[in-house]
Amino acid sequence: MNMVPNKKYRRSVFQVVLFFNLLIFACVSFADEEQIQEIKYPIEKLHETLINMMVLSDSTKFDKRYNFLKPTIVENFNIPLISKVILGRHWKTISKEEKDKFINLFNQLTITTYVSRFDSYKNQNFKNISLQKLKKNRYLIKTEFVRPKEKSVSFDYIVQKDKNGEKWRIISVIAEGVNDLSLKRAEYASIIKKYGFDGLIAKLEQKIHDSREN
Amino acid sequence: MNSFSYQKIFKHIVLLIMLSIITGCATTQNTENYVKDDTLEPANRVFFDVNETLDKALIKPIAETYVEFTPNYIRSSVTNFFDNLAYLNVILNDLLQGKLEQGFSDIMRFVTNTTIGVGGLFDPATTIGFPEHEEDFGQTLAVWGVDEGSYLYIPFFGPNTVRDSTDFVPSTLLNPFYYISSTMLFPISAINAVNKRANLLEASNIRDEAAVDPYSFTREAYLQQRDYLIHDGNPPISGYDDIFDIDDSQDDDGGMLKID
Repeated sequence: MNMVPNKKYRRSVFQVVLFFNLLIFACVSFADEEQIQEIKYPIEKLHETLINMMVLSDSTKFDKRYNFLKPTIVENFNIPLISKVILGRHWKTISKEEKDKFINLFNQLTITTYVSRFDSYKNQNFKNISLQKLKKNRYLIKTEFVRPKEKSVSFDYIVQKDKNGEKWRIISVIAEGVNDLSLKRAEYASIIKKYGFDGLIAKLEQKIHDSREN
Repeated sequence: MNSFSYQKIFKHIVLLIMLSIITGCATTQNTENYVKDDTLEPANRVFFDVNETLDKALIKPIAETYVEFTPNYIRSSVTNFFDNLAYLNVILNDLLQGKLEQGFSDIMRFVTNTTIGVGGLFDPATTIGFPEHEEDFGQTLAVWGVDEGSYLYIPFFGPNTVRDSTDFVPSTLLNPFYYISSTMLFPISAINAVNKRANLLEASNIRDEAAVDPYSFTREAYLQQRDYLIHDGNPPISGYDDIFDIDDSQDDDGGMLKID
């Protein structure tokens, strides 16, 4: 006789527990999904802007495309951190003014490189592949640049939150397994060794100038 | 002695020279610094300059002319033909690395392209589902745990490492080309070389546009690309962000940037 209400009672407790579990699970999933979207945002914004810029490329001059892309690069790349990693041990040996000059120049170089490389639209698109957590709250996002009739190019990105915790930003780009950061780190170290920091600045200015002319 | 014998002797001499370079340069490398030590840099830079000069004056212009006057489908068939001839080496290295499934797929690829693909001129295998893989003896040695050794810039062959240069022996001996004994050998080799250079035009133009020190750029890009290939496009994620922890780069992260 007692078994029936007890059974009912157990069932309702089970249903309540299940409901709360599902609610918590849904909230956690929602929070996770929201965080994933925040982490992926800089890459998705960059890709979207690049495609739009490529569509414009036939009818728009270099300077206009440069200004079109500039806000996306400034907002979504952590150029000061990238500059510091690229200059490695030389970073500590240069003045505040020289650091600012390098950061500004490197920002121009990054925009210029994108504008001159992504210069025609032939139905290419970007495809997200995966997102993986690295050390120290950094994330690796793997993507692919799909080109009809040509081999796809893999573009991997590392993103990290700013120190003030406001926004996720791109801190490294790896194209077909080649990390742009370590490539430039090696190159710039060799130039500084040969021609000094001013020599490097002169070479970067020349590169930016040449890309604009071509 | 006829021309056939001369060619055989020449090929054996080249093989011996390559072997002696490989064994003679078998030094180890200090990888404590992130930027890899380039112990042979002075000599490498000399060879690099020679190659670059020769390339700019002769090989690149020929490759550009070849691209200009040869339709895309012919260049594609030339590439397919030479890639197919070199594919036995890929199969061998699949098997040496224990990639049996990939090895089987690559055998099917070679058979399909050699027969249905008319001696390798066409690539029906990719459409059927036997995709192209990139394997060589340098990658096999890496899978077996052999260190890459010093970076080498070899005249005419370009960037290499002591470990990767060992591929010259199996790739030469397994290429049916090696056994061709007619006066056609050198013209065909020249077509192969020009076609290879033509396929690299886009990459070399990107390098020329981006690099402030083309020598270091080539070395780093080569070494990283090799690592990528050794791991079949999926290098372990553990090393991806090491570069950010080398000189405590996080200390004064600049946050938002004010750009002129």
